[in-house]
Amino acid sequence: MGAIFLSASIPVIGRGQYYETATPFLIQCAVRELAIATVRRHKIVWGGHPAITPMMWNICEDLGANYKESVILYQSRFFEGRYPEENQRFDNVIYTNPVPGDIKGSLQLMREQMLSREDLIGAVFIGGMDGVEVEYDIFRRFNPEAFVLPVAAPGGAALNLARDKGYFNDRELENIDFATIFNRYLPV
Amino acid sequence: MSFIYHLAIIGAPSAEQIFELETAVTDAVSGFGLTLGQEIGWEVAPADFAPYQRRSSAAVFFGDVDANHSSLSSLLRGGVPIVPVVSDLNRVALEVPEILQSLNCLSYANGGAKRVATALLECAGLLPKQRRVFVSYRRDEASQAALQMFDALSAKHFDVFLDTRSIAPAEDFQTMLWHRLCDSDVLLMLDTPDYFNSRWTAAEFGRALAKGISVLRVGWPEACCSDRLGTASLAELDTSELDASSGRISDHAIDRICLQLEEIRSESHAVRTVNLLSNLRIGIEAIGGEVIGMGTGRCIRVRLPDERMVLVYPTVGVPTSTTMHDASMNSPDESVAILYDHVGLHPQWLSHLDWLGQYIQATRWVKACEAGWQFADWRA
Repeated sequence: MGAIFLSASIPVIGRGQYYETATPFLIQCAVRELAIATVRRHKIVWGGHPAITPMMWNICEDLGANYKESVILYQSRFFEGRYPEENQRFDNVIYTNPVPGDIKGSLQLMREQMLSREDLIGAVFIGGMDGVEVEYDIFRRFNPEAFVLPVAAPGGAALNLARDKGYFNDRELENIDFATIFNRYLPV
Repeated sequence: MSFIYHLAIIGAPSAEQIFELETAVTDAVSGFGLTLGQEIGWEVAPADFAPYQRRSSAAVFFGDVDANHSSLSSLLRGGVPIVPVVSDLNRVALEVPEILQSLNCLSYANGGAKRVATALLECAGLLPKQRRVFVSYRRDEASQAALQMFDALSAKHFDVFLDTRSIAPAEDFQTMLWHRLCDSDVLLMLDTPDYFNSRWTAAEFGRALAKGISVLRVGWPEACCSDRLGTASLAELDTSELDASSGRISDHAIDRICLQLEEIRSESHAVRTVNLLSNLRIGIEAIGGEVIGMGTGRCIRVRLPDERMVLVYPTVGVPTSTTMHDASMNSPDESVAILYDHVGLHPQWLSHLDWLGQYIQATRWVKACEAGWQFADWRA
C-alpha cells in the first residue's frame, strides 16, 4: 500500500492573493473525491485541517476504511499545546521535533520528514497558500519520479502550481470533474 | 454576464416551437424570481453549446430529418442532460441522430411546449421540488431571521426545510434532521455568536461535508467564523443590515443572500451531478461498457458489455422508496437502476435501503463507488 501526500488547505484573507482565486466548496468537493478514490487503496499523508479532517473521518467510516490506519497526520511539536482536538481521538499523528523559537525552521523540519517517507508514490495539491510551493520543491527533491497532481479548479496556490509548471492547459485548469481527474492521474 | 443556470435549444426547432418554449420557460422561472437571458443563460440554435461546467445546464434537441448538432458528443460526455424532441414517437430513427436515439424522446404532439419546458427544467434541477435548502439556526438567537429566510426562499419556490416548521412533534428529530440535510443542495447557516455551542459537533458537521453539501454561512456581525467553516461560502451581515431590537435582517440583505444561495445551489448541483456521473462512467468503462448520456428525467442510458441496455436514475441526495417507485413507473419495460452516493448517508438509512433492495427486484440500488462490480453481475 503506497502513500499519497495530500497538501490541502483553504486560503484565508491576508496571506497573499490565494484567497482571490479560491472556491472553498470546490476544495471540499475535490478532497472528498480524492478520499473516495484513494482511501481504500493508498494511505493519505497530510498535515490535517480543521475544516477537512472531520469529513475525512466520515468518508473513511462510510467506505469501511480504518481512519487511523488510512490517514497519517504530521504535526510539529513547535505547536505543542495548540494541537487540534482530534489529535487526541486517533493514534495517527507523527510529531516532529521543534526548532526552538523558529516557526519556519520547525515547519521545514516537519515537511522534510513527512516528504521523505519511503512509501510516498505521489502528491496531490488542492487549494493552499504559500506553503504549497515549498512543499512541492521538497517533495520533488525527495521523489523525483513520483507523480504530482495539482488540482487547479478550486484555485489557491495549487492553481498557480498547475499553471506555472505547465501541468494543464486553459480548459483543463477549470475542470471540476474531480472523479475523472483522479481516475486518470492516480495509479491504480 | 455570468449566468447562474444555462439552457439551450439546439437541433432544428421551428420559429413557433422556439417562441412557445421560450414563453413556457419564462413563465416557469419567473416564479423563482429569475429571468431568461439574465440569471438564466438562454441560447437558441447556437453553433456551439459549451456551458460553464460549474453551472447547472441542460439542452433541448428538436429533431427533424437530418437534424444534428456538433456539440452533442461533448455535452453527453460532460454530463449535460439533453431532452430529444420529435414530432411523433414513431419517427425517432428519422428525426434524431443516432447518438441520441437511445435517450428517452418526447413527442411534441403530446403536451407541446409546456411538457418540454418541464422536462428541460427538471434536467437543470430547476423544478421547485428539486430546489432544496436546509435552514439551520439557533432558536434563541435567530428565530426572526430564520422565518424571514423561510418566507423569502419559499416565495422563490425553494423547497425550504426549517426545523421548527417542518418536523411534526412526534417525529424522531435527529434522524429526520439528518435525512433532510443530506437531501438538500445547500445548508443555509445563520451563524450567530453561540451557534456552534449547541448545533453541531465536528463529527456531525463532517458528515454533512462528506455528503457534498454546500454550506452558505450568513455571519452575524459579532460572530467569529469557526475553523470548521473553512469550506463554507460566506455572506457576512453588516451591522446596518441587522435590526438589533427585532432581530430582523434588512430586505436588501435578504435579496443578496437569496441570489448568492441561488448561485451556490447551481454550482453544488452541477459539481455533484458531474462527479456522480463520472464515478458511474469509470465503473462502467472498467468492465467494458459505455455510458451514453443523460436525458429526459435526468435518466442515464448505459450499455453493458453484453450489449444489454440499462436505465440509471442518479440520486444526488437521499434515495427513497419513492425514488424506486418513480423510476419503475417511468420505465416499466426497462432494466432500471438507481445510482446513489452512499458516502455521508446515515448508517440507519443505508441499512433501510439494503432491506428494501432485498424485497424489490424490479429496480436495483447501485452505489456509485461500486458501480463497476455491481453492473458486472447485472440481473434485473
